[in-house]
Amino acid sequence: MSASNVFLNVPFDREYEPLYVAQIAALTAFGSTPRSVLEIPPHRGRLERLRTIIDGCEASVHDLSRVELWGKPPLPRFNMPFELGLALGIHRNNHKWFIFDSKPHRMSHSLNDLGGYDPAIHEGTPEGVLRAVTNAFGRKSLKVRHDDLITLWSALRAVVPRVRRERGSLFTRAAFEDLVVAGQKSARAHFSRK
Amino acid sequence: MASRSSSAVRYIIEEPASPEETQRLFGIKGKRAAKLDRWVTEALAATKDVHHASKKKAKSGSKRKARHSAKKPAQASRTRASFLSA
Repeated sequence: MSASNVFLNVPFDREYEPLYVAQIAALTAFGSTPRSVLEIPPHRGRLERLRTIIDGCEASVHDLSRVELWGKPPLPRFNMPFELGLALGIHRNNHKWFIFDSKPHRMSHSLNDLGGYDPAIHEGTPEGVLRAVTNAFGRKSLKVRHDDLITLWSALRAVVPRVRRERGSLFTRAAFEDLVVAGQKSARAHFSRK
Repeated sequence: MASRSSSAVRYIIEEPASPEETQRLFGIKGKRAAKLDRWVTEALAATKDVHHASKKKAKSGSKRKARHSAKKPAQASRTRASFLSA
């Protein structure tokens, strides 16, 4: 298990893209390697591979802000709570998990089994995501300031149009990998200059 | 209790992940790795420029503001003077 692998459980839709990019920028700024279900090709054995990825992560971030009715016909989005349950089921020890939401008290209505755990509220904004990740993560060797996060988030945003042009969408395996590696390379270049 | 969530605990990363290791994990190499390097270099340069420009703008803005507020008392006294002389 890599100490810096963080499982990222977020919705994959166009509206969420700015928050998704902010998540990757912030997590890589703090020195982690975000991992996602996007890494798994859609074929048989998906669940087993998902379990393997989650098992290899010491921490996880679960954004439940889009647990709502979606699509045609409108149906509840179960993937995020399902992956949260999977992470809690797989890890019985030494796993840190963080829940993000857009509004306070929303989670207590939809998932009261987790009563007593306060989600970090990002208010549906990328800046809110940067704050939430900052509150959840730290790095022993280096203090990551808000200015650093803004710079690295801006840098990743500058890479996004190229990734989208090459990959068609930000929510593909290759696009996710490109964004993670670009985030880590930016972080290393940025902090080595300081 | 096995694990704690959200605001309860902070997860401290000991050592930052290495991009090379992540590239190996994702099977990224050759042209793709070089392209990512180029994208990041250009993105950081662009970000630095924007950062620089916004700092410069903020600085010139504050100079303008300082000039503006410096004029105010003079203008005010002129007004008062013209009022008194009238």
